[in-house]
Amino acid sequence: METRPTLRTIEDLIANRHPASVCLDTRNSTGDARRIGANSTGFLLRMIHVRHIENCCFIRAALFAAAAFFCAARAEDKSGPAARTAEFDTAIKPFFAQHCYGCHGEKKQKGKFRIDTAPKDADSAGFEIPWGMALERLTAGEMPPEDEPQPTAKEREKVIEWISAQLQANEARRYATTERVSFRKLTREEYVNSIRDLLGVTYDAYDPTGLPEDPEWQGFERIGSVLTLSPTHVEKYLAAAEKVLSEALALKPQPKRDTGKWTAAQSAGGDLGKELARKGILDKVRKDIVPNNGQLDGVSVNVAVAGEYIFHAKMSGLRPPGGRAPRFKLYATDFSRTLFEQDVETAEDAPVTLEFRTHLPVGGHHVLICNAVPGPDSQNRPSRPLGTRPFFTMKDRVAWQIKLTDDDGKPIWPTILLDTIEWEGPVYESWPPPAHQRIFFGGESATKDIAYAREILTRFAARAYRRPLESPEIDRLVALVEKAQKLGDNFESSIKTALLAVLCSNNFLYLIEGNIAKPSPRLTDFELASRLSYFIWSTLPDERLIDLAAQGKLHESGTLGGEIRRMLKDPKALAFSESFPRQWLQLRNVGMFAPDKKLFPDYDDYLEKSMIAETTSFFREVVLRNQSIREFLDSDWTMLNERLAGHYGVTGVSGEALQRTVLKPGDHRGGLLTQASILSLTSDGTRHRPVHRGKWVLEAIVGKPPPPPPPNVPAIKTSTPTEPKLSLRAKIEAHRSDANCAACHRKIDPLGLAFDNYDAIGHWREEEAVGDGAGKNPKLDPSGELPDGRKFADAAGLKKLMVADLDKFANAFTEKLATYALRRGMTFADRLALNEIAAKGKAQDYKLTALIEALVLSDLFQRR
Amino acid sequence: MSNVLTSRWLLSRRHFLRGLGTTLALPLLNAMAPISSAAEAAKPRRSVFVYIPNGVNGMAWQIKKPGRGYEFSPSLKPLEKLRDELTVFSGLHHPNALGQNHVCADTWLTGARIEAASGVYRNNVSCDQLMAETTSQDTRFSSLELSISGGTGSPKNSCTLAFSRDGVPLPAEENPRNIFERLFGEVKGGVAAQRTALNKTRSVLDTILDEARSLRLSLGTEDRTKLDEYMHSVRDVEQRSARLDSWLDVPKPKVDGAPFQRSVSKTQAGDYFRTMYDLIVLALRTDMTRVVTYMSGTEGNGLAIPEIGVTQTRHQLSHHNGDPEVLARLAKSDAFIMQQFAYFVDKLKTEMDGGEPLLDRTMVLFGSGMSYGHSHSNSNLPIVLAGGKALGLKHGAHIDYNKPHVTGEYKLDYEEWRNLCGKPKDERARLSNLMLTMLQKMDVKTEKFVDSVGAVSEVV
Repeated sequence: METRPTLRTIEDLIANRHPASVCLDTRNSTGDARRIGANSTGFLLRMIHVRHIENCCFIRAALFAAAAFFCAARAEDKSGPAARTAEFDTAIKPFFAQHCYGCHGEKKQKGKFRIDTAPKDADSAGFEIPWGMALERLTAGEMPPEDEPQPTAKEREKVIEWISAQLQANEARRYATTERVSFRKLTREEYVNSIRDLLGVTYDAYDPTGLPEDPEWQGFERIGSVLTLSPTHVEKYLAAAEKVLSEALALKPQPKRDTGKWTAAQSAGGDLGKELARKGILDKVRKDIVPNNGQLDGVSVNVAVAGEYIFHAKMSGLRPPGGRAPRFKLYATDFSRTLFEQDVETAEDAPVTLEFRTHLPVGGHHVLICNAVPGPDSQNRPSRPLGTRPFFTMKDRVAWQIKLTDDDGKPIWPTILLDTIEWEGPVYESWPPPAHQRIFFGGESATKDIAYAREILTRFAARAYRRPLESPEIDRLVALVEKAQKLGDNFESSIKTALLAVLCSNNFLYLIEGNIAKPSPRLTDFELASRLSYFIWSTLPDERLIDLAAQGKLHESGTLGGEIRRMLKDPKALAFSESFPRQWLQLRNVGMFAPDKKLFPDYDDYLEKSMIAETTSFFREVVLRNQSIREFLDSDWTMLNERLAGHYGVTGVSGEALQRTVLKPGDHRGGLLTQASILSLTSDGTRHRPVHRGKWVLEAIVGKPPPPPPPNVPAIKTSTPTEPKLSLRAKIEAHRSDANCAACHRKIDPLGLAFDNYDAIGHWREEEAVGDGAGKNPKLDPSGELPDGRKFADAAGLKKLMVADLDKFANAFTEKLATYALRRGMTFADRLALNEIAAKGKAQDYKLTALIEALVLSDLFQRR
Repeated sequence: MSNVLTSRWLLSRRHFLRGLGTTLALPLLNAMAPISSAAEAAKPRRSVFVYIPNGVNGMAWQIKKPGRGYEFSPSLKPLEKLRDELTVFSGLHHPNALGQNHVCADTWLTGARIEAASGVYRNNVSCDQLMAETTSQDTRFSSLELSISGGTGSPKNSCTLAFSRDGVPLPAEENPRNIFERLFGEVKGGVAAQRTALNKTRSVLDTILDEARSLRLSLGTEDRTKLDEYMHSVRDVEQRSARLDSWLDVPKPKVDGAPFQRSVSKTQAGDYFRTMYDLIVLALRTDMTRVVTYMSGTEGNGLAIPEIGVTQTRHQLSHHNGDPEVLARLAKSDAFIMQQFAYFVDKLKTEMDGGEPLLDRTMVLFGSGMSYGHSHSNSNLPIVLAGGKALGLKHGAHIDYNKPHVTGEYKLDYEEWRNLCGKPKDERARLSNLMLTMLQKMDVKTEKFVDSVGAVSEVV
């Protein structure tokens, strides 16, 4: 099972020569060759337009039919290279012999391209080069040339499917490479969490000056071979370490707590302010903040010392009859961060004081005060013309205000009446901060000598490296302390310098697995602790996990089972419920292109956040209630807040928090597929995109992504002003009249068209609003047929068919879970283990936690 | 503004850097003294890259006649007075960007193939960074990255044009005040404190490099991709901090910062664009850097221009769905952007640098990675190349690679535009050819950039 075919030399790869019989080496001696393959072919791979790939596991109906995966055998089963090669000879080779070998074979190599010698098996390195080229030509309909006999669409489709499935397997294999020692970099999120747990401070990694966003593969941001590191990262890590250590350590006297205040009265400045003060009514001035006040109401917040700041904002929030509550939002322009936002609804004469905490960097920050709801005017403007009579009450209507209130002084638009904003900070839990006390464990009475320094560093580095240190490692850090002291540092500063090195060390920044001196196919207990902890918590193992590892007990199944259950109950497990669905479902694409304001005037940030929160809290609910993954396909409940419920037309939900809400069939929701987040991430901000939706379903739910589209697909035609309006479905159907396109799109499109009743932001509709052409808007037709002939009438029907195929989804889902947990692609070799995990889950009705537990307890999880 | 001559800031630290690999000695200050002899000093070569998102309205952009003496199209009209300073291109494309949706912005200067919808994101080095490797030895900043949105954005929706050797995006700066501060601000805490800090940083880097090195030794000669990547990066940062150190004793030029100290709102698009262009001119004039990228809009954030009544973002305008009204607004936005660009080129032309216009030794590549935004088509890109005459560029013509594949006159109708953008007419008309041309003019020794098939003979 551990054996994988590989390539003899890099020269073979470059020359695209392959050993006649693929050599089977043991893993230890093949790691290097695999790695070379993965790297040196990367560029070529991009050149030849190979779609990056889903894992291999569920690719082929034929392989399923073989069902040979379940024959646990040490020898090659029917999914093994021998079986795959045999399949090539009978099913695929004849096509190429008939249509291709004439020009790209032994006698002729037109375009210097030869396909008859291309490797037959996806596990052969270099497989992707000739086959990627062949796939591109075939899907583009460029080969065979027009004047040659043409294969039927069916024949072409079969071959395209074979190549693309094999290419997927080939690529997954390359992202699954395991070196003798593997280095998997922490993601941005994991870095932030690890720093939080080490030092108790927040690192603002998501600000523009923070860390770059991590690259992803199939949505997964934690694939070891994909995460790269550049000098820019190193500079960022250095700067970050300096920042967080300065905040965590008390090397200077405690910073004075600073305060600041903004009052509505300030807006009545100058002579007017003096006049109002004389009359004794200056403190009665309020600031009316209408929607779309844009950049024009703001407050300057000067921060001398970075840290946690507490804000208090006093205001009233007036909801217009039948409308939305206003939404108070503070947005820092210089580091592009929303500091706080919340709906506010209180009577004009009963203002409320909101409190929140946020972490602020040093600097003079310009913070916008916004009423973040869509409003009457898309132009930014101040709430009230400057220099006019200040605002006191809604009853007091001046000419300008008439547009904003009705005759009774009730607001027409959601309106905030703001009185004051106050802030203070930095606030500390204690001084010195807890991390300082933990690091300088001896307190003030300790003798500040090198022995003490050594002990400090040994403790801290062990926590950061997630394992005990070896003495040369400690020596190096101690030497740095001595060097820093020579450069003029006092004891504490010199320790800080060494801690900086710890936080920039490869031992902290990478999850390192494997040991040259003691090679083992199994993880050590310390490695296991990290793998487990970063899987469920996205952070360092806690003391208990490390203790169990030190005792050598962690891998024992009783202990491990108990630990995984404990970890899932811990609040830190929220990281899994947020990150896994975000990566699996590609939620980072939600709102990538802001929906058109003219087409979707109601769309706002709040809705977007609520959409994403529905999906992640839905996932979390399934974890917490120990429900089955069946819920992901269809459910009679979902998680809604007032904003999203309004968007869905579901009544009876109030407030900002997402709450479990029972759905009726007429709500047209349930499961993940009809959640607004999913429906909008597959749209482009102006219209729904059925093909993208279908492709997404194949990737995320079916686990069987379609082959890449050929380059240069002509644009979809729009109707002229006199032609009748056409639904997108009709346009796509006209567009793909080409049989070559139809082959793949027959499988992709129905899975997307099924959701045509949902527009680009996931709103339910019966007909499609079409901009081009004349006449009535077309009615929508979401019906379709699966490749196996089963028909469905609409999205609800499709969901039923998917639930009937729960086993297939469970397989796909298990693979996603394993990809996330193991930080690598899954290969043919992992097939058997994945099936066993899914089968264990099935015995427990596919409960999500049961699947997680089965994965963690599996051999797959505990092996290198 | 004070007049700062380029040569005053021209320093050569090649010699110094050569010695860096082995030791981190104090900088050889005398080796970095300004070089007085003009014959000795290679005159500066500069490049600027300006990106606009989502393509343009090709019906109002396309120039009809190829060659010299052409008539400017409505959208390009603002450039008319600069006719002899620039070349307009039709029919260029990045082969790897075809069908890649909005990823075309990430790859505008890299030419890399990145799958749009799934798969691994891995970019190449951008051509500006290749140039910076050559020019950085002589300037305080190896390159300057500017953008409408700060940071790097996210993969496939980049807000920076520059990518390092490892294909990692280099964060851009959006705020004129911060950019000015970074370029011309005083060294924080004084030179001595900075030097101590740099020394300490280098000790830290030494330590972590040592740690990695010992691990690497145990690994033997194979199995060390990720660790090597780490070590190369650390070593690179070590060299950068040495370079920073060497500049500490060179005073920064004194310039008037007032125009950049105020708060510039992006809702005043014209003011914002011109302020950014002014900054670029200032940075070039004072030789703080010779390579600048400016993403004047990202694919997701192309400014609306309320001042001329265009309230939709460029992405929204580009999904016009054939609607004539939206198309008209897109053309209006295009023309406005060209006005600002003309302001920039004109300013480079008026600024004198050692007796010749700054523009003459500065090449400016302007354009988009998309052509027909509604369907995300990436052929027939809107591209303009300006400046660099003293580097040997010849201007004044409209170079049209669509001809002779498109016969007869352009009709400039919707169908024609859509078709021109869908598939390249000339598959050898690659944007990378133009980038190769610029690379060579920048003294980068190369015969190829990504998929280039040769320099653009029409302009050299």
